Amino acid sequence: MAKNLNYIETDAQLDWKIRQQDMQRVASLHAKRGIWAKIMLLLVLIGPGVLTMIADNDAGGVITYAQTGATYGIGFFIPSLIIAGFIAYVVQEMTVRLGAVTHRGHAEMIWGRYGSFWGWFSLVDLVIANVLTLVTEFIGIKIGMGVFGVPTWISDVLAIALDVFVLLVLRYYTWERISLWIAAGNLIFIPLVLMAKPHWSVVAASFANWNIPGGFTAMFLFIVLANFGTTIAPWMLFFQQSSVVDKGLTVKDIKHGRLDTGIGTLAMVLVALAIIVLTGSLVHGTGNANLNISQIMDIIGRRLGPTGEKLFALGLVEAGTIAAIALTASTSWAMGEAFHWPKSINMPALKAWKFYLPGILSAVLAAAIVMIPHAPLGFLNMLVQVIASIFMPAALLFLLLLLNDKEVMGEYVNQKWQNISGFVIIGLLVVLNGLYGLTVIFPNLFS
Amino acid sequence: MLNNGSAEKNDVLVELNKVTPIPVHAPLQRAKVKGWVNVVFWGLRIYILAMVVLVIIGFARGTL
Repeated sequence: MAKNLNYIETDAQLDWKIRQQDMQRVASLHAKRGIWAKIMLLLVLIGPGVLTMIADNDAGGVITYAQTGATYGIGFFIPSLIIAGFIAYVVQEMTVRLGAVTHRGHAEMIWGRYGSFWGWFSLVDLVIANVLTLVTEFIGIKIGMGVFGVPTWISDVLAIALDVFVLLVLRYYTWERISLWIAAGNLIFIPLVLMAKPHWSVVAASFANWNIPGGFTAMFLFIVLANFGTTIAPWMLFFQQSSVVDKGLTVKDIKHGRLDTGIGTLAMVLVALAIIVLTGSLVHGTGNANLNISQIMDIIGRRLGPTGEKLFALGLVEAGTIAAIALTASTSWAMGEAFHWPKSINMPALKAWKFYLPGILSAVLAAAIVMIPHAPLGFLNMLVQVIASIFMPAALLFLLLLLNDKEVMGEYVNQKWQNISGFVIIGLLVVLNGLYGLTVIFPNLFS
Repeated sequence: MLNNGSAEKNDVLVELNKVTPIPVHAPLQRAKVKGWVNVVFWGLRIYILAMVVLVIIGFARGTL
């Protein structure tokens, strides 16, 4: 027992020592005056928010947005995505404060404050959802690389190699910088939508004539849930809080953490809108219903030429890659926090193998599932939606409870508007999930 | 040396614990679940149970 405690203390010492280098750098920038110091401070502190939000536009997200635009055009979902962006910001800002004030990850907070039952509940849900979401990321990478004629096994091996390399070899700050450069590739959808020359007047009109296209049907409800599920997901709460902690952010950095989250939200919404406007302009109304992503890319290729199809495919590969990196880290952080293992990307691989192993195993398992011939990938995709839908209100509830816990947050507890927003978001998710649940029992309820 | 939640910043010792209600390396104490928080937890249990029942029905009927 004593040996074990000594082991934990030694790891904590090493982690703290490495983290102090980053904290000292931030502190010296805080102390400096002038515009360049301010810009440098922003550039150094930017990261967790942008990474979380861009990784949220993952392969599954890109596919969902593309199918939404192809099915419903550029009507209802443009204003609703802006609302979803606001929701994502409100939720993720709370994780910044919680991480900066407590210096502990989300899993550790739930386990420590609400006990092992809710700790296990959150951890098991998170890990299963992460593995299944990783499957969708590798499917996206496979489809995207397939456009360039790359076989599945090569794209799988390349993606795993990159994912494992950045996690095992780099310290947190370098890992974050490399990930941010990969995340920048998500912006590829913006020049792509400009290539499509959409009717911007139609885009603007969607705000004036906001209505439900084709009426409120079970299919429409499913698409709404899929879009909300894509915009706010349980892993995001765990990932951003752990990033904030691993980066060593303190209460002095909360303002920049908010800015970081705001910039990330803006980028996420712009990219999501670009994808919906792209497929809404090029694919919607072509007479094809229930298109899969390969069919959508094929139509984009016919309308914009091979360059358009290849750019979209690259975007899909990037979306899957950045999300795989984030999900792998999220699993490792959550396991480390729950079981008091080493829990920092700053830790050397051999010293903190317990921390790195769960994340890497989850990624390898997901990549292996994608390689299985005739694997029920559609079923797995649906399963991840179901688990995330059930888990999300619970995860949000724990977040709100922690943000209202004065013993934990002190003066940084939620303000009234944040609590109202939080509970409205939970209520909205519960109602949408409940309505969808009713359509399971009464399939013709909204026909 | 682990300095119990303190960090040298610009040659100034910054005590993280001064702005962190629970000291960084102290174990977390279980929260007291009472009043409206207790009601919230029961609501959560009922919600999870209802969703699990709906998922089982959905899989059994093939409507999910």
